[in-house]
Amino acid sequence: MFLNIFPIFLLFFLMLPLSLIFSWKTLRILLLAIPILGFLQILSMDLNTSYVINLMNLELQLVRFDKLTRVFGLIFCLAAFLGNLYAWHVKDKIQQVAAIMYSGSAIGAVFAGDFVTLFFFWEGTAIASVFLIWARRTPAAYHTGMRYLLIQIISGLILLMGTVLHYKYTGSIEFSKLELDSLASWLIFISFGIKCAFPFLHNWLQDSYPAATVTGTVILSAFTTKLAVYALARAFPGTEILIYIGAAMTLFPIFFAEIENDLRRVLAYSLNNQLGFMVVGIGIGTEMALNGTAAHAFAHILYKALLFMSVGAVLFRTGTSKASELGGLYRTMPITATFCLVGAASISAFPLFSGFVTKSLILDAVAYKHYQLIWFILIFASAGVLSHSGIKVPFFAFFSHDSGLRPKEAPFHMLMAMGLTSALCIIIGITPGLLYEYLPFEVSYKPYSTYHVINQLQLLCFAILSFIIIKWLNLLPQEIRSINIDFDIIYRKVIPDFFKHMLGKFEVIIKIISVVKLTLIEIIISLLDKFIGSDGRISRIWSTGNMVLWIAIVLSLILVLNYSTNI
Amino acid sequence: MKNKETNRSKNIYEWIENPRITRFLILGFIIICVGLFVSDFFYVRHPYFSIDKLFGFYGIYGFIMFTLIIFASKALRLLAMRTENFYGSKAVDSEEYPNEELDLEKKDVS
Repeated sequence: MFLNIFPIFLLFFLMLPLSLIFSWKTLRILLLAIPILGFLQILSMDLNTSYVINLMNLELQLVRFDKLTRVFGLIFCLAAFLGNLYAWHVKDKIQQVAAIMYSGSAIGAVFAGDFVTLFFFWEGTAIASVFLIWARRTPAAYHTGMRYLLIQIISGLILLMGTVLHYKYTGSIEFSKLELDSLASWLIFISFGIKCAFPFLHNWLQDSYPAATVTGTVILSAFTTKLAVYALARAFPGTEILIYIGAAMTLFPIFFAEIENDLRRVLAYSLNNQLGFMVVGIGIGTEMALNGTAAHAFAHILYKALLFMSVGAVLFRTGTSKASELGGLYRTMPITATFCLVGAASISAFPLFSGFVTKSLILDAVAYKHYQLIWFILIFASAGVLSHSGIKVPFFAFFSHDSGLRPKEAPFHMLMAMGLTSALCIIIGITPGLLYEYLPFEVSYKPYSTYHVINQLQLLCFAILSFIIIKWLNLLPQEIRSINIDFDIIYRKVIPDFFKHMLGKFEVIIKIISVVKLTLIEIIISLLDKFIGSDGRISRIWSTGNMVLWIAIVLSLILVLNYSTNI
Repeated sequence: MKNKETNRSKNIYEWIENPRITRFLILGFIIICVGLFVSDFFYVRHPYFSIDKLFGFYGIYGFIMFTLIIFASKALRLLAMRTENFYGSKAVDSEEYPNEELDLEKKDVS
């Protein structure tokens, strides 16, 4: 049988050296085999196992295996398998290796028992995943990737600062529950929040996912944000502020998704909205709510991947994922259309589909804790999910007016991946017990009660009725080739323009500054050598922890400065 | 959604092009909605708060909220919409997806 202790996710990283030896054809088989191995190992592992290594007097817990780890580990392996199956045709080794290293890092982070290990894998996901964007190989994709990478790296650096401070305060690096009562825990919280796409920290998601390759987006959609959800569930369960942050996350993306033209960006906004439900669950923090978050993350990874796969297949065959250019594809892509509808039904939480049995857990947990307003917001957001992911995506891609496009049906391996994912969505919807068994806490919840099913159907059917009437009156927002500005205009347009404007005004001064800068740098280097060189004063007094902290701060500053002037 | 075999092709969504069938389906859907609304009489309801005790709450809420979302989005569009090349060459919005990555096969329509 499988080794119980050896962390199998390390196999994922073997792919880097292996890629130098094998051809892409061999690699793609390994790309499917390794996630299966991982999945089987996680299934067979004993709960509460741990694996600690000693690195320079630091106890690093490479494996901390409990029920929360198990459910996220399982879904990450599953998502890696399905994503790689979908990408079976990709000959590009860079994408192959990036995909597997990315999923390996995400699984490694889920297994990490301390913040230092977490940090390594946290940055691992950032660095590996950006290649899925760069693999598009256009200048625009390069710049988008840069923006994505900078934000992800900053998230990591903030995590590092938080870790160092946390170690200073408590003497521990254990990755466990924290209270939001110190700078350290706030830094860690913000670092998780960036990756989790909290409001105002969310734009990297909608910016980068539509820029990745056809298959890259499917893989991207599974890991980064759900890793952040896992990290929040591990460190901040029951933190009340998360309830409000989560509720805000379910709300604002709805409106952007509704008017966005690029269907992959619609799905990115929709992803943001779904994360909101999970974050609310973490904020509530009861056993039922945390079960709901874990279950919803599980179901969400599947149906969101399914939706990205179906839109990806359309992009693969037609060259565009823009609603304004698409429509009527059911004629020649009926199977993809059907899978898209399964994904749409799942995310809209129709009874018998996966979203229904997982979202209900969170909604009921909110109601039991008497958060009335939040509950109403979440029900509202549920109608919103239906509007953009449930109706808009399948409708504008596959139905609606005839675009005249007659693409061939998606290739067989894509249909396989979509078919398997669809099957999982339906199986979870019909037999929720299968998933409930793997949740962090005991589940006694029954989603299929009469009132539950009827209430959900009432909500959804009347929302669809509204859609039919609005469509009939021709009042739907039209599909127009356009983009919508979001909060990122601040750092993508306003600040850079301001800098450019200022630079233009003071050209002479800039020249003087650049001369002064060079001299200054020389002086600084000699000063640095004096203080923190091998015999320097600071290097004798300061602890390594302080050094790391300062390096992290300086690096972040450089990143931010570079970002705002160079974007 | 039964597979309707016709002489022309055997697409499972063939019925969409037939206005009589779609009209019939929409009518059926409206009947289902009415049924769902009335069904509130016939089962033990389980309200969490005071407002959702209201008869037909979920239907009304769903309908109003969906409508609200559509019109609020249209309002947002007035504020937020820009041309595709707003962010210039540093965003993928206005570029074509590189063809080497794709397999743009058309279906033979005879």
